[in-house]
Amino acid sequence: MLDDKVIVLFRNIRQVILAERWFVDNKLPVKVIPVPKPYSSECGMCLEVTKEDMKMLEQFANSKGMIIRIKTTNNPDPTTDYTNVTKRHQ
Amino acid sequence: MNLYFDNCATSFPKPSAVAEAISKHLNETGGTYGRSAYPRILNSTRLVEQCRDLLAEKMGTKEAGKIIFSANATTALNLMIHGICKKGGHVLTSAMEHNAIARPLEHLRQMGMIEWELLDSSPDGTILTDRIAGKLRPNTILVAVCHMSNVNGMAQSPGAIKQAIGEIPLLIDASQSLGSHPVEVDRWGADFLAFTGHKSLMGPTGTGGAFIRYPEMVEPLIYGGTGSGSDSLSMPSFVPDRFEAGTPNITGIHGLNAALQNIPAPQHTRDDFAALLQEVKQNKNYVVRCAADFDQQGKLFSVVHNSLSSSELAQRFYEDYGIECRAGLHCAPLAHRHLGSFPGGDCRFSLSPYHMPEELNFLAKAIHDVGR
Repeated sequence: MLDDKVIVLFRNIRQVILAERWFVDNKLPVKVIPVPKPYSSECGMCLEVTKEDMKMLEQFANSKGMIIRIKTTNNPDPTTDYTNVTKRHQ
Repeated sequence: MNLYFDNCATSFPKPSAVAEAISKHLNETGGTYGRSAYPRILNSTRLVEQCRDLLAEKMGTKEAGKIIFSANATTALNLMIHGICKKGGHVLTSAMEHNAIARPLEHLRQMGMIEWELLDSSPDGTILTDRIAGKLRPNTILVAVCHMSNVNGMAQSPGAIKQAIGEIPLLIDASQSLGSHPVEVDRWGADFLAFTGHKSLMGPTGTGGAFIRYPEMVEPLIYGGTGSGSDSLSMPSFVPDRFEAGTPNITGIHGLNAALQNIPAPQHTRDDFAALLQEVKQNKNYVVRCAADFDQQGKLFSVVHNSLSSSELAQRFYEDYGIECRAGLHCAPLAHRHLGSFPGGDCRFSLSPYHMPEELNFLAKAIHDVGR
C-alpha cells in the first residue's frame, strides 16, 4: 500500500499507461488500479500514487497535454470537485 | 531458395518473433485492452501502447496518441474518407489509386455526396505538383493519394503535394510504403495516413490503422464501447478512443509489435535491386512498369509481355520456376488505365528484405527465359 496516496484519473487508457511508464522510469512508486466506483467510469484503470509526487506528475501531464483528475483516497465522496489540476490542464 | 515475390499482397516469411508473440498471447498471457486493471490486462495494454509508440517512430510523428488501430488499411481509409467528406465537397486523388481509395470516393459520388477527379500526373503516375493549384476549387475538402503505387512501385512526394494544397487536408495511403520506404508524416505536414501491418511492416493480417491529426474533422465509422466515458451514449471526442470502438485485434497487435522490434536487415542491397530492374528492362518483349526515377522506386515492379497475358506469365513463373507472383489488376484499375495496361493488367513482383542477391538473380533469369 502506498502511504499518503491519491488517485489520479485519466481521460483514456493510453494516458494511464504513459503516466505509469513515467513513474516507473523515474523510480517513483505507482500502482495501476481499477477506477474506484465513486469516482467515474472514465476508463477501467487509474493510478494510485503518493501525494508528494503529484507536482512532478502535473508537470509531466502538462508537457503531454494530458487532462488529469485527482482524488484523495481518504475522501472518496463523489460530489467532491476535481482539483484545479483539471482546469489547468484543460 | 525464397521464391515468394508477392510481398506487397502480404509479406512472407515474417520474422519468427511474430508467430511467437501471437502464440504467447493466445496460449500463455492472454488479456484484453484496458477495461480493468489486473496484471493480465495491464500487460496486454502496455504492449498495445508500446506498439502505438513504435508505429509513431516508424511513420515519423511525435503524436503517437493519434494513431488508431483498425482491421486493415482499407477500413482506415473508409473511416477517414467517409468521416471527412461532407455533402457538396470536391476531392482530388491520383491516377495511381488502389480501390481502397477509389471505391469509397466513387460510392460517395454515386450517393450524390461529393465530386472527385484525378490530379495530373507524368507517365509513371508521379503527380505533377505544379499543376495541383489549377485543380483546386473553393469546395475542395480533401486530397487523398497513395504514397507508393502497388502496381509500379512509384512513390509520390507527399511533402510537395501538401505544399501545393496548403490547408486542404492531405490523406496518404501508406499501405505499400510504411516499413520499406521513408514515411515522415510530421515533416510532410500530412493530416491523415492509413497503414497496414501485414505488408512491409511484416506483421500479421488483420492489423492496420490510421494516423488522424485532426480527430475533430472525422466522424467515427464504428460506434460502440471504448472503456472510456462509459456513462455517455456518445462516442468520446478524444483519440484513440473515438475511433477504436470494440475490442481491438489484441492478438494481432502482439504480432505487429514483435514485427516492429524485429525488422530484418535487408539481405540484398539497393544496387542489387537496381541491377535486377536493369536486367529485366533488357528484354524487349516486356514493358516494365516502374518509377521513371529510381530514387522514387519502391520494392515492387510489374511487367507486361507483348504476347503472353499476365495470367499466362504468372502460371509459367510458378509452374516452371516455382516463383510466386501476382497477375491481374491488383485492385488498381485507375493505375492500369493510366499506365495503359487496362483491362489485361500485368504481372507483379515484390521483394522482401529476406531475399538474397542470388534469389534476385534467379528471378531476373526466369523473367528473361519466360519472356523469350
